[in-house]
This record gives sequence, structure tokens and C-alpha cells, in this order.
Amino acid sequence: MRAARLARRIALERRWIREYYKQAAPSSFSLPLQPTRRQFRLALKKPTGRLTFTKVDDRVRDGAVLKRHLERMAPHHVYFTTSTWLDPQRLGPRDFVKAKKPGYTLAHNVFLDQGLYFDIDVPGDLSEAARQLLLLRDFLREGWSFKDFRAVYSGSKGFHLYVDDFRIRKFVDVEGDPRRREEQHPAVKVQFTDAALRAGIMIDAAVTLDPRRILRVPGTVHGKTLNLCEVVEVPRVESFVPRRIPSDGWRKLLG
Amino acid sequence: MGLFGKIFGGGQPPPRVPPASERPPRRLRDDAAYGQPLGSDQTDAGPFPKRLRLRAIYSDYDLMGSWKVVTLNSPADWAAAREEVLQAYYQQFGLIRLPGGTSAIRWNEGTWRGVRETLDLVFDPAFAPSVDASGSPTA
Repeated sequence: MRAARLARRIALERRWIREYYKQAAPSSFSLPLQPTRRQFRLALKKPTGRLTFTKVDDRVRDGAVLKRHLERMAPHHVYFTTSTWLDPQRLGPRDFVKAKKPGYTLAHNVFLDQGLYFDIDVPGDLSEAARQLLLLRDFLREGWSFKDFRAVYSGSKGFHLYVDDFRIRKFVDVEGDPRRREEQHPAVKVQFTDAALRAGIMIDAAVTLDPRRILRVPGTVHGKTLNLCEVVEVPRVESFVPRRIPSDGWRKLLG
Repeated sequence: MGLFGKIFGGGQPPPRVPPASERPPRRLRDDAAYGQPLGSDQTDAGPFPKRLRLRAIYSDYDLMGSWKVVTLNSPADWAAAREEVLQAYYQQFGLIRLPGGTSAIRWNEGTWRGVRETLDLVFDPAFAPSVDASGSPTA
């Protein structure tokens, strides 16, 4: 009985999500820089409530390509890799034990670069999350002279901060070997996360330090809250109010 | 087979790969093994003492802590048991290993306070330690 109700609820949510993506303009998805070098992943909710992850087996060059997949799959969550890869569609896990052929692991994991991203979550207090984001922005500006920031509401408890003018070559000579290049990023970025954490700023350092991390795509739906993940102008972050996708749930549930 | 083997033969033939129709179906993660939400039946209702197999899950990312077995002698023990499971999650995910063998802190006190609020605790319904005549769990 309970399982059937859950399955109905999930089917309903997927319908709302699909309807939202059908009417969404392709330009409403704010794709990250170099989108064709990234893997896009979709989390689909099974009728049992569990999530299964699948990758978009396509080069996502613009919002129209992504929209096509979202309309078809109606995923609860949509993510992009924070790193860029030579062949993102074939990107394998870090320790790809199934690889039988020599060189396979390396050939499918040619790391190119990674931006600088921060995740700020404050459960139940979005205005505090906004305050933390501004603190972090000022901290990075004063400490390392970064200037180019983008704030994204995550769709749930907080914000992501993108530092668009981060270039790793300003901090270190970039290695030729892609495995070493991948290792350079956390080694460089740990100075930002450690300092921010010590200053009491509420970040999750794993999001910044992990080259295999994924982040929600701005313009997509957060399937748990049904809020839109969206870009917010940094000066307006404190007055930001989340937007929820339209749903007719209450009418359907009441019959 | 190495170059020597290729030239002179010998060695083991490559293992036969069964056709797709003969291969066992890919086993998806068992939903029951994920754990079930805790209720007062598990935390407050007897008989006591009892043991529970618990773990914390960050459902937003499907990030699962390792299973931990706790013992409850009475409902009053629940708060401490919960804390034990949350601390185990912190130990498991709170440090980030960096290349070169160093590590970095993932959360400060404020962030961890927020994270622990959002963790779900689940129990393993298949874990049923047998209880002896005196009421003590034996498994």
C-alpha cells in the first residue's frame, strides 16, 4: 500500500518535471564553460524511491541538446562534472578495475582541467547560506584577488559559488601527464578550503577538492524539493527567493 | 599471453567469454540492503537489551556510511547510540585524502552541524541477533 503510494508519487513528480522541461527554453539552462568536455549525469528515481544514475551519452554542446534528454528521461537530478575530460562520455571510475586492456584506464580518463567551485549548505536557513556565500566571495577576493564570481542556488539548502577566473597555471606549472594534472588540483585548492574553513565559512571542502565531483546544472529541477537550481546575481543573493516548478500534486493526491 | 607464448604457442587458452544470453543478469543494488527508516519500534520499544545495525545516509547524494552495531539497554541509550553512528560517519567522510598522502578537513564545526542535521539514520532489518533466555543478545 505504502509502496504503491510512493510509486504513484514518484510517477507524478516525473510528470511535473517532464512538463517543466517541455516548456523550458533551451537558453534557460546555464551550461558550464566547455560543456562538450564534460559528462552530464542524470539521476532517475525508481518507483521504490531509490536513485539510479545514468550518463548523457551525447556531447552536450548547448541547452537544446540537454533539453532533449531531459524531456525524454524526466530525471530528478541533473549534474555536470566539475572537471573537463578529453573523452567525457567514456569517462570511467578513478580505479577502473574492470579495465582488462593495458592503457584502458588512462585512455578513458584524460583529465584536462577543473574550475574552482564551492558548495555552501545551511539547512533551514537560506539567508544564512547567502551570508556565507558573500563572506566566501570577499574572502577569496581579498586573499587571492579573484574577481569573477557566479552564484548558483542549488535548489535545496544553499548555494554554489563558481570562481570563473581561477586558472591553475597561476599557482603551479601544469603537468603533462593527465593523472598528475588531476592530482595537482586538490593540491593547489586545499589552501582555499583550509583557509575558508578556518575562517568559519561553512563550505563542504570535498566539492572543491574532488576532481571527480559533480554539480547540479543551473536551470534544472532539484527533484527532492522541486525547486529550480538557478543562477543568482551575487549582489542579490541575500534577497533571493527559490522558485518551485508548477505542479498539480495536491489536486491529484486528493483525487 | 606474452610475446614468447605467441611465437612458440603453449600457455593457457584465453578464457571463454559466455554469450550475453548465458551471463547472469547484472545485479542491481538490493534496496533492502540499503536499510530502512528508523521508527520508535526500533529505538523505544523492547525487549531490552537489544542490538541494532545502523548507518547514516546522506540521501541527497546517496552517500552511505558504514554499518555500525549499537547496543541499547533502554530507550534512554538511543541518544548516545545515535551520536555514535553520526561520529562514525564523520570519521568516514570528514577527512579528504589528498594525493601525496596528506589529508584535508572537509567540514568545520558549523558545516558539520548542518550536515548531521540532514543525515538519515537507517537500520538493517535483516540483522536480528538472537536473544538468550536471560534476554542478552547472543549474536
